[in-house]
Amino acid sequence: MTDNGDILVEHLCKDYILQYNRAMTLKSRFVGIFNRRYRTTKTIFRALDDINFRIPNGISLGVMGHNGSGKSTLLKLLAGILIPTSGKIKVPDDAYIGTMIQLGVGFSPELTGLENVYLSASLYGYQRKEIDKKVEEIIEFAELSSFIDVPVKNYSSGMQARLGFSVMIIMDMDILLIDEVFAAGDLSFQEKSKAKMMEFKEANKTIVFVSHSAKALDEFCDYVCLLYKGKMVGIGVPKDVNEQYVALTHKRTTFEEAQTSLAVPEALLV
Amino acid sequence: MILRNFFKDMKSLPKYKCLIRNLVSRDLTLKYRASIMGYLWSMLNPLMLIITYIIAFKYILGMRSISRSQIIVGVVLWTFCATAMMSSVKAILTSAPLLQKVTFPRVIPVISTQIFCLIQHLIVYPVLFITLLVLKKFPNFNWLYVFLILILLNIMLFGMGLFLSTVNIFYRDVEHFLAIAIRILFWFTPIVYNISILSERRFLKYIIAYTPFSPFVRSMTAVLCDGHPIPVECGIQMVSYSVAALGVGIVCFYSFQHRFVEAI
Repeated sequence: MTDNGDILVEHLCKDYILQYNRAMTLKSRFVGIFNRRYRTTKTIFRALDDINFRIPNGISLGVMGHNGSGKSTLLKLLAGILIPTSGKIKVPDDAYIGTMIQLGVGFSPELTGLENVYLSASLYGYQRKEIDKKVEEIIEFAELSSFIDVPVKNYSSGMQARLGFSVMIIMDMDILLIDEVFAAGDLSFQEKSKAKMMEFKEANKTIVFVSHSAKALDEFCDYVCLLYKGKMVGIGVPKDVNEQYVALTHKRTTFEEAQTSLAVPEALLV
Repeated sequence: MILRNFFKDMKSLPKYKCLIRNLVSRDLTLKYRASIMGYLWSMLNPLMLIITYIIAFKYILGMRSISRSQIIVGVVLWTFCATAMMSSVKAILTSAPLLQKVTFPRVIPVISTQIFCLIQHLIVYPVLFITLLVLKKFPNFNWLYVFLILILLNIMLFGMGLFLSTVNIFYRDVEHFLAIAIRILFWFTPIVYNISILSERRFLKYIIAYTPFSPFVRSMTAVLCDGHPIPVECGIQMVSYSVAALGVGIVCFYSFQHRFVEAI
């Protein structure tokens, strides 16, 4: 809970327990007592290590890094889907948080598009009346008016993606947590959603945006946070961060050097 | 800590009431969409059981101690208990796709499953009451106890649902064990026989009187078939069972809920 709508991340660590040969049943747990081959072995993998930053209200922060650097984990922790192993995350209390970890959030294939709009908007905590007001706009934005009474299982993946994105963007959330969204939809839909995102940004709302695309990050984000193997390299303006990201990829610089050249701006310090 | 999380969830429930309604209506639509018989299916299963048991016990075995109305009331209530347990054990696992993408109180799938089962149970009641009238069991004021029994039963089933759905995440075969346990429990609950026939076998009678669902079935038949109030010892049992189940369920669910998403 922060009083001014900031998101605070302090000494955040996340461990995944990798269980080889995990005992999924009581039977295999029982067999494991007698037979070594069926025993579970555990290793701990530190996905995020001591992350610290503050996202002031209204800032859009990009997150960049190589595959497996912990970007999605960070997003899931911010969303509250995963619980930190240690450290603290503070998110404004009553904020509606839109999460877009994968497209087509929680769609039930057998239900129609319209039923799914209601279901997925209510997942974020919206009431029926609030959804009623926006439902027309959502359908129109998704360009699905003629398919809205068809079960979602008959939708193409692009249609599902459009519907999922429209629900999130039209419902007017306070904070958006987004993982690579512009991969879906055709060019015209992409442009439309970019424009909508810009509107959202101009309305002074917080966005956390995970992407590999330097161009998209440059367009939307005030600052970008660079992660490297679970550790935070630093935060800076998109151009500087991208430079370091490329340098790290080609091993032209080490983690420590990158860290010193990317100082965290004062506004984003905890 | 556990209690604080529980109350925090309970406080946020009004915010998610639309979600609960949507989840319940999703389950109902999925169940009845594209089926001609629609909600008659909810009645067909208990109906077939009732007919079989009445033929088997009243006519083939010729048991005197149990009346047709007792079998009917018992089977209807038992069907509710069994379906509620079998659905809530899977509640968290089946909503994995939602839990992995959006944050909402983990307890909501368990609640919505419970409500879904309760609705299916309640729509049988009109038919049940008509059948009782046909069997010349006329309503009196004691029938109001049905509400009390149902409230306590739902508290107990909810507690069991919290417990079972938690355990089933970590050990997936709990589901199969439960199916067997329900079969056994059926015969250890006085549904197709009356507990009074066991007066000579004290030990067995003792066990059967204390299985989780017997006070509920006994009270229900006492109220609906005999028009009596709830027997005192059954009332005490019902209250203590439901409070205990709820307590165990909450402690178990809220001690492990932070590990759900990674485990499913």
